[in-house]
Amino acid sequence: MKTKPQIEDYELIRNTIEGDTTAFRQLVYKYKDVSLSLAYSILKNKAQSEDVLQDAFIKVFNKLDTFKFKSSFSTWLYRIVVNTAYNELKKQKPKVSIDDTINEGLLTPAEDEDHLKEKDQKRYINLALERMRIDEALVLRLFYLCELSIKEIEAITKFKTSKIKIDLHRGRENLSFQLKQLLGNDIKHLL
Amino acid sequence: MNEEQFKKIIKKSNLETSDDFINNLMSTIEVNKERKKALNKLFKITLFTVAVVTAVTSFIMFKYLGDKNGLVVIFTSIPKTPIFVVFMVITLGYINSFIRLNERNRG
Repeated sequence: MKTKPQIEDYELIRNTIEGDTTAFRQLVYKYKDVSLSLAYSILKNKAQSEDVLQDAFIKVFNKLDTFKFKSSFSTWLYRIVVNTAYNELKKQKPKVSIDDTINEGLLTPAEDEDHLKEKDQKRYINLALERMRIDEALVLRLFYLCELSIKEIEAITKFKTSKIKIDLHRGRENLSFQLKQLLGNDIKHLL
Repeated sequence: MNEEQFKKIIKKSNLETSDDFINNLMSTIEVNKERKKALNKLFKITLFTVAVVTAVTSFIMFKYLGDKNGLVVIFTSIPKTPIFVVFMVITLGYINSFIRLNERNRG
């Protein structure tokens, strides 16, 4: 049985195929931020992630008529985003990140504030995720941010179920560790 | 941390694209659409020209293909140099148009 968001997506896809570009605009608007977060898990650079996302959405637009309405659009889209990001990663030479990243100026632990501002919270969490292994950060985001099942994550990443479970387990441990290192006692403000 | 706390934390990590992301994307898509249309037009023209040249060549071959061997007749009764020049010009023209097609496709 299809959910309401799925039906809405299918409607937008049909309209896009019929030539209505505003429908595609709506689809992009709906998924762009989560997709950017997924690409960022892999590339760890916001500008590159946006470029990759542009490419991924262009691929989606060109291949939209091949989309089978049996599966969820989000899963299909995330698979394209993840593949495009991994392909971009393969082209790159290994480098140390944290250049144009969203975490500039936040490499010292949080100080006197009673509570971390929302913007800063986001930066610290992203910095923690950035310090983690790519697969772990990606699986964590797919599981908690996109709220996908392990089966769906398997379809997107092509990882084995056992690897996904291990990445989830280690990812949780690593995220706690990194956040504790970054924030110390201020970690409680995140919860 | 429990599951709910992890979920809450990861949700907070969600990034936002730049303000002009959608506009940039849509204009790229529009440009690609126009390019595709131009490419299709160019391809149709090329295909039409190839078809016409093939038909003309076939007609000439047929006309000179009598009781004797056609190739022999062509090589003995038609001046070789002008034919060769025309043939080379047409061939180079096609090579040029295919290179252009390829470049436009990549561009």
